[in-house]
Amino acid sequence: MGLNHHNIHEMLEKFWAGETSLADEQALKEFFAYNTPPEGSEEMAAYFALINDQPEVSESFDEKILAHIEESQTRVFNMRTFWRVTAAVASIFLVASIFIFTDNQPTEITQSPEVKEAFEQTKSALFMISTQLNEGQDHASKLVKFHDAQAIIKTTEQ
Amino acid sequence: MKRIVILIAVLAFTVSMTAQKEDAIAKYFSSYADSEDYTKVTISSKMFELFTHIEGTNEEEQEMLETISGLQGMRMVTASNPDEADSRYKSALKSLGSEFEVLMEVEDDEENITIFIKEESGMINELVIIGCGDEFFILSLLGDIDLKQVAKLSRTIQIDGMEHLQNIDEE
Repeated sequence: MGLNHHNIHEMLEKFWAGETSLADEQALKEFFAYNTPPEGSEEMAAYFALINDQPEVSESFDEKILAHIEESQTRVFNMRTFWRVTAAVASIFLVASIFIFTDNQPTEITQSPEVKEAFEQTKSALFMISTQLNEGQDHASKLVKFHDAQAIIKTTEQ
Repeated sequence: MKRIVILIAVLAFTVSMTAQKEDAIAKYFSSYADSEDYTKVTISSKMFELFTHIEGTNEEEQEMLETISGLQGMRMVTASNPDEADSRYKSALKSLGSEFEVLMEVEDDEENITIFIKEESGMINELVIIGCGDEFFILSLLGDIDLKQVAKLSRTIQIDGMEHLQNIDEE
């Protein structure tokens, strides 16, 4: 139906009632684009002018929207990974802190009979090694003295 | 996540390899561990770590703790049967690996002692004593071993003893 200043009001009533087809709405857009709006329909003219100014939705619009949604989902996945990494790091720190805590509680442990016994065993062993090393050195120094004495005697005899 | 799992596995492997560092007794005399003829004493590296928290009460203990601070383990096996001590001693000398060098041999009427060392990069990292007298024994010390420091230990104790004797004279 061609629109003109006579039937435009009737079409606008149908538009507001939601009874217009896509073709009717297109006709309304074209009418307000190329004609002076009739009295009382200036606001509708502004409305359709605004609609005409809107860019057409491209065919790739849906694809772009879906890609954007997928990207958002990826971000959610990355956040999960982040929390997993955080949990793993926290676990490592927890284990490390247990070791550190154990190391910071040595005083009580070193007072235990087992540690004292082990310490005494180690002391005895080290003392034994030390004694053997010194005895060996003493023997060696005696041999050196004996050798020196022999050399002196030989020199005196000559 | 996979990287973290691999990292943890590598760390665990490294820790376990460090913990499993073999001394001469474990390597060459492992058969002794199963025999009831031998008394075995093992001081682990963890125990040596605990020793570092002990506070020495006198000069002797301070010297001892200083020497101990570089050690990572000690193991000793002894057999008290004197009749077999000499044969065990000779057998043990043959069993020790070639990476050990003789540092000192002392042989007298009472006992035979041979001290071996193993060096890496100019540092002594294991000392083994094989001896026999009233009993046969093998002792292994693992870690950074400063022979001068070890030799000083018995001298410190002897000096302490002399000081006490001097005090007695004064009294």
